[in-house]
Amino acid sequence: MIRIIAFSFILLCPMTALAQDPAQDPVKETATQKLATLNKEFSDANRKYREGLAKIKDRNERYAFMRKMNPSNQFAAKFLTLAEENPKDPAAFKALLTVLRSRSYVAMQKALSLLGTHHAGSKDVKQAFWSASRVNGAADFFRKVIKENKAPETVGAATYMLASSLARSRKKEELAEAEALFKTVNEKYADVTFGRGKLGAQANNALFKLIKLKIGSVAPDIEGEDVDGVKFKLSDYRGKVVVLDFWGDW
Amino acid sequence: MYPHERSLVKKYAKDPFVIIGVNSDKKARLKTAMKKNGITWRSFWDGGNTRGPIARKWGVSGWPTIYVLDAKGVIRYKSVRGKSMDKAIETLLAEMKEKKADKEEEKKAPKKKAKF
Repeated sequence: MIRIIAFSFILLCPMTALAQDPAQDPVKETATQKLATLNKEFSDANRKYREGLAKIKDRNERYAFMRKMNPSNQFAAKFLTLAEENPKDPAAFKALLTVLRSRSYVAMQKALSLLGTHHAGSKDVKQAFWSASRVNGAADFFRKVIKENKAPETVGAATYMLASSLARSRKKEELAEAEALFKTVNEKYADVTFGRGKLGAQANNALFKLIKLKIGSVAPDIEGEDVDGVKFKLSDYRGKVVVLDFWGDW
Repeated sequence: MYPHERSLVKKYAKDPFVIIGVNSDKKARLKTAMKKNGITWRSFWDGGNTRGPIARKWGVSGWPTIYVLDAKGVIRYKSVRGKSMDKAIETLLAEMKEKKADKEEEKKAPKKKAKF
C-alpha cells in the first residue's frame, strides 16, 4: 500500500508542477516546462504561417511571405536562449535539436557547439547527426562524440559521419583521413544499422567513390546501352576528352 | 544545361571531344528530350530512374553530376559547370596537342641531326 501511495506521489509530482501557473513562480520554472511552452508557441506559429501561406496564390508573393514570415528563424533564437540558460539539461538537448533543424545558420552553429560540449556522450546524440552534417564545424562535433561516447553504435555512426564530411573536402590530408575512417567503419562497425542501412555497405560505397572516382584515377569503365538499345562502353572513347554527364530531363 | 552543352558540341566539333551522358529518365521521355532539345550526344540509359545501376555504383546523389576525363580515361575534373567546364576542356585539349607536338618533334629530331 505504501508503495502504491509513494508511486502515485511520484506520478503526481510533475503533474502538479505543470498545473502551476509558471507566471506566478518564474524562478522555479524548469527547463522542461519552458521547453513545453516554447514548443506549443512554435507549433501555433507554424500553423498560422501555413494557413497564411495557403491563402496566397501568386508565386512571388508566396516567396516574399516565406522569407518574411517563416517562424523558424525567430524561434531558433528562442530555443537557443533556452538551451544556453541550462545547457546540460535534457530539455536543452531537445531544444538544440530543434535549432539544428531550423534554417538559421548562426543559431545552428552555436547549437552544434553546445551539443558537442555538453551532450557528446548522450545516448540520444545520434538524432543530431544528419542535421549536424549541414553545419560548419561538424567535423569537430563528430570527433567529440567519437572521443566521449560509450555506445559502439553511436561511435560507429559518428565515425561514418566524420568520414563523410571529410570526404567532401578538397584537401589531400582530409581525404586521406576520410579513407582511413571509412576503413575503420568497415572493420569495426560494419553491422551497425544507421540511416539507409548497414554502415559496412555504406562505407564500401563511399570508399569506391573516394578511391576509384578521385581526381587522378582512371575512371571505372561503364558498360551499358544507349536509348536505342545499342551496347557501348565508356572506354570506347579513349583518345578523346570526355565530359561524363549524369543527367535527367527535369 | 542543354544550350551550354549544345554550344560545347559545336565549339569542339573538330576536336577529339565528346559528351557522354548517363540518363535517369524513362526511355520515352529520354527520346522526346533528345529530339526536342537537339541532343546529339550519346547517353547510357540507366534503367529509367535515379537509382539506376550506374548512378548507384558511382554514388551519384545530385543531378547533373559532371566528370571530365582526359584522353587516357583519367578523371581530371569534377563538378565543373559553365565557364569552368569550358576551361577544363580547353586545358585537356591543349595538353593533347602539346603531347602530339612533342612526339612529332621526337620523330623529326634524329633526321635533323643526320643533316648536319
